[in-house]
Amino acid sequence: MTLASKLRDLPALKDFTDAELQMLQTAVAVRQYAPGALLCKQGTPGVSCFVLVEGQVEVLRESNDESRVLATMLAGTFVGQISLVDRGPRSATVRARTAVVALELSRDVFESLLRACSPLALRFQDQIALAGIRQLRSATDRLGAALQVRLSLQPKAPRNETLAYIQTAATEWGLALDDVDAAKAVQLDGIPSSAERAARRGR
Amino acid sequence: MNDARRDALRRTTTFATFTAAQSDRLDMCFRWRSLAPGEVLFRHGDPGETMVLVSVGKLSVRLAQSAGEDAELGQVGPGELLGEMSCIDPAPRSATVVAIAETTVGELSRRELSDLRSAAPDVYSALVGAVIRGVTHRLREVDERIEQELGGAVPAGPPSVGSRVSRPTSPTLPGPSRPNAAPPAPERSGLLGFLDRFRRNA
Repeated sequence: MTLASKLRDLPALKDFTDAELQMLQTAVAVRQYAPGALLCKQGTPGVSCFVLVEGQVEVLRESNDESRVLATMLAGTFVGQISLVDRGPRSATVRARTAVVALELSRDVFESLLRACSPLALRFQDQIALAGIRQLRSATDRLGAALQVRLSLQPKAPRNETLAYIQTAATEWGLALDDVDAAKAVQLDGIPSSAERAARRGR
Repeated sequence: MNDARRDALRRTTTFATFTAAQSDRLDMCFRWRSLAPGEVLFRHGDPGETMVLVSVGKLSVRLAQSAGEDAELGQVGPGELLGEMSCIDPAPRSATVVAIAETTVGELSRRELSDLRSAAPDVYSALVGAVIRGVTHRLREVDERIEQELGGAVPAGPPSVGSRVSRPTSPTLPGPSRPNAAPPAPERSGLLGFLDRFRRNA
């Protein structure tokens, strides 16, 4: 099976025309990884993103000498787009779980395609937006689960609404995360007035 | 262009990098309408696929409580943007939004966003790029917050009235000892393992 036909089969690239897929292949580097190899390492500068064409990768978050698998990603997924966008360090390590084929798109190439408003860059940008939004929704679910555990350990057990508040606050509304604490306070202490919320925020 | 609308577009962080021409083009895409106090913009659970820019007034973001009363999560005012993620990736509204003053909002639907893509690709790209930067920023914040939550699972006791829930910074995990860089195993270590067990038992 040729690379072109593999790309044609990826749901994330279904809107790409044949010409765009061809152009994509000239804009990216095709990388191959053995099981266990790293596509990128948390904390290092990130100058590219990846589209998984074949195989599976694990996304690992490392802290305090511990590494946790956050997710397993399958072919068709975009990974590493956060650093591509904000020029920050890699937020996670991505490790090949099986033999992996991936397309690597560098920031330089992506940005020059975007400046030219090329249809390929716009499609790529759409996919980066979708990947980011879905990743944020999933991260918010994980935060909700972690908070639920902590809150459930407190004597005054919260009801499900607490979780709904937290998820609502963080995802749909883009409130500062300090407001999530305010939302918890709503649950635990009753509804604060705007002035109280402002005072809490100001502290 | 209406001054309040121009001002709202300029004040919106998402559109901060837009040129004047791009702002004017974007203004043409939004459908502007007025809401009277008490009028609902949309309800929790409604299909969501528009982004909403507040130009004038104030809206309350609310969630229904089990007692049947709404609780307020926050308020939004001029220059604030809602639902930009749903406009790109539709999802049900996660709260109810009600006008609490005479309010003017601009709405941009998924369809209109898609039209903008072919009519003015530079504005479209600037808009999607701005949403991506916002999402990316929030993603890093949420990730950091998850780290904080997982770093300290010791119950802090109920917060006193008006206090902020404490944010433990030191990793003082109860439960099993944590092996270094553990590969994925049937039983996860640390708080995630605790979380798994908690879920099984819940």
